[in-house]
Amino acid sequence: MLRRSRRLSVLGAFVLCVSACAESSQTSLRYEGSSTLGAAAMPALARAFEAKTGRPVFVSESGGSSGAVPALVAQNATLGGLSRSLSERERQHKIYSQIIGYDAIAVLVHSSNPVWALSHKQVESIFSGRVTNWRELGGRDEAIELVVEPVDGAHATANVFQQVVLGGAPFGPHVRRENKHHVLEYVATHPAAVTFAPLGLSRSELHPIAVDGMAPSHDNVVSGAYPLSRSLVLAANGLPRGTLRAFFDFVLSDEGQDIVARWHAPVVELVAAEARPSVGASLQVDR
Amino acid sequence: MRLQAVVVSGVRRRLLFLGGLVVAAFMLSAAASYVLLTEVQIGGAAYDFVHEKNAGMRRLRELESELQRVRLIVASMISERDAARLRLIEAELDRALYRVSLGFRQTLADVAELDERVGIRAAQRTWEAFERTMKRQVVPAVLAGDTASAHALLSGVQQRRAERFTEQLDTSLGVLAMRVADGESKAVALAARTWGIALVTWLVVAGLLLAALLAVGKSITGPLATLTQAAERIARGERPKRVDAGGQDEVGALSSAFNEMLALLGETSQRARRSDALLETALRSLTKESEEVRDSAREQTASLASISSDLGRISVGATEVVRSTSRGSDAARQAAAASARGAQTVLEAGEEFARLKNAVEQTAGRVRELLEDAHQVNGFADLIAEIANETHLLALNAGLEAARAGPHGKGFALIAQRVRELARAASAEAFRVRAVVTRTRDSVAAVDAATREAADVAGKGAEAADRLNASFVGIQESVNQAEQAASEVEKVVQAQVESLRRSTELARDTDRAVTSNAQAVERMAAQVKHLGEVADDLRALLDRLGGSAGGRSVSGA
Repeated sequence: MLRRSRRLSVLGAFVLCVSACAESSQTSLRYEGSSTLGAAAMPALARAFEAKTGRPVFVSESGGSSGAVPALVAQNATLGGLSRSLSERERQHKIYSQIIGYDAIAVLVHSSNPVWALSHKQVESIFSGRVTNWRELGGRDEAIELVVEPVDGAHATANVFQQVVLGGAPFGPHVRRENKHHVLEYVATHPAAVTFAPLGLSRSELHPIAVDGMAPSHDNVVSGAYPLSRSLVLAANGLPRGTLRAFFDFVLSDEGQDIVARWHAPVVELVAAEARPSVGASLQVDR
Repeated sequence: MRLQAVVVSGVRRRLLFLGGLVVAAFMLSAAASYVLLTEVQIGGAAYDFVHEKNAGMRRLRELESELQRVRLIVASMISERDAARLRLIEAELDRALYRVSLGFRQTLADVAELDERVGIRAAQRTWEAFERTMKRQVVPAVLAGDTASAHALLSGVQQRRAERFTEQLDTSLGVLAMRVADGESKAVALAARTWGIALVTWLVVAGLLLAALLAVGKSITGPLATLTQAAERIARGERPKRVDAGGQDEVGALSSAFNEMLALLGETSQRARRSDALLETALRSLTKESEEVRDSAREQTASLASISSDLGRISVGATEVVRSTSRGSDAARQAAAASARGAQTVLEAGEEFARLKNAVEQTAGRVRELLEDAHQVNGFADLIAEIANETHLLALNAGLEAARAGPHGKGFALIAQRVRELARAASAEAFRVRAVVTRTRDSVAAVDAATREAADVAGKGAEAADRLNASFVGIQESVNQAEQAASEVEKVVQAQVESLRRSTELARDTDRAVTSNAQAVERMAAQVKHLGEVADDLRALLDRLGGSAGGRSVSGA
């Protein structure tokens, strides 16, 4: 009788433990990986998801894109973020991945600036400091004012831009502002200024430059025609189920995509996307 | 008829039971079949799912290769200088572009899940941009011979689009591939589960049928085992009250027959015990009576001896009477003077006659006693015969019961047979005793008659002596008369002596008869003792049969 009850209690404890473990893995999610996603879109998505379902999503961006898949494989995280598509080696881990949006970095100038299009090379020469006057680029005879936010770990866009455009080389002489808002404020009040920023942060006083003939319009970003764009990938270890599946569905839903669209180009066409004050909406992008 | 009805009802009950179990097994397998059918449907759905996803993947791969084809066609257009063939290639490009557009529509119609569609939709949009640029810029540039800008477009924007296109399709392909793998593992698990259900069902049905067979078998063998056990217990000497086995079927009938046999066995043993008690009593009284008979026979022999001696004495007395009578006659004939002496002698003779009469009467009384004894012996012989008959009858009954009891009654039957034989022997012996006693009685009756005659004669002698005595008064005048009377007396005495001799002979005969009677009685006592031993055997057998039944031993009775 005693032994039986003990066995029952052990069984009960086991069941409780298993259900608790299952519960914890089911209800709370942990994000690890890309800081591009982890710094802005993911926290917003996590808040919205928690408000909607009551299930928290913990966001950590210490690992960067390359830390995402190892964290998933080691089961330190349930959600992984990458600002690129998965490599062949990463795909071998049975990783489920979903493009949730595209990160496009727009080159922004004052709306009075007559320059609308530049080649990838011209952009590079501006930011490396080799070209210093707009006249060289078909604009007014004005000295180019580079405005750049601090280049450190906390500002992913600057890093990415530096990597993609300058190949890791340092920026030329530039005006430094503490954050993107100050940077954009500066450009909005200086007609010869130029900067770069995530597409979604553009303002009406600014207009983006088409790079290699491609304006950072939604279509161009999504189709990859705009060169300064990358896929934003959300990944999981195996087919997502339960809360994880719910989170993926949420991110791909109009509501989730609306949140993504605050910083990035959404992967799903939003009805409202056309009405959004998109950076390249008014541009003649396709020749 | 009743048993047959019971058998029929038992068979029907068993058949109903079996039928019920078969129906239960059938219903179980039907339910299992339904579940299995559902499982198979689910499995089919899983298969369809995997098939569908695989088809989606195939289409996506086709789209990917279609893109490469388009790029190759455009590349071949750039190097083509012949206008006619350029037209053909352009037409082929149009077809390829159309196929891709159609492929997207079909794929999107097939693929339902949001996470699968997203990548395809994005790829579609990328494709649309790609196609647009192809049609509006690349192809016109090629046709216009502006290969430089065509090359620039193909390696710049269009290249990036192609890469993005592949990336987007790959995302959906990856999702589909995972869905396929998941579906396949689910299908495998489902198949395992289906097999498990089938196996469990089979086991349960088989177990049910086995249990049914066992239950039916046990319902037959169980009561039979109980009956066998009871029979073994009876063989060991125990005596179960009754056996509870079986219900209303043939097995129940068997057990009730067994119970009936048990009851009969009990009754038989009770009856046998009763007759045993009766036998014991009879034996005891028989023993006592035979002892009494022996004693009385001894007494008879003694009294006969005394009768013999009395008769001898009477004979001597009679001879003496004859002598004295002849003396008296001689004296009378010779002299009446001696009449006083003669009268004295006659008086003495009269007294002698009176003594003789007394002795004869005593003998007669003893003979009567002997007759009575003989009557009694006869009565005992009758009783023995009766008991023997009853024993015989009981033994016969016991033999019949034993025969009904079958192999277990064999020993009992043997004993019954022996009892019957002994009863028959006892009966024969009793008959012989009765014959001897009858003979004895007849001879004793003859002795009685002779004794009566002797007494009569003695009485007549006494009368004659009296008359002689009286005639002595007038002896003178009636010497002749006296002489005549004397000769008369002599004749009478001669007859008396003769009759006495006969009487003695008869007494000797009687003695012989009594002796043989005593021998018969001894034999009978031995027979009775043997009967006692047989009764002991019978009791032992009864004890074994009856278990608890006890009884006093009759051996030594």
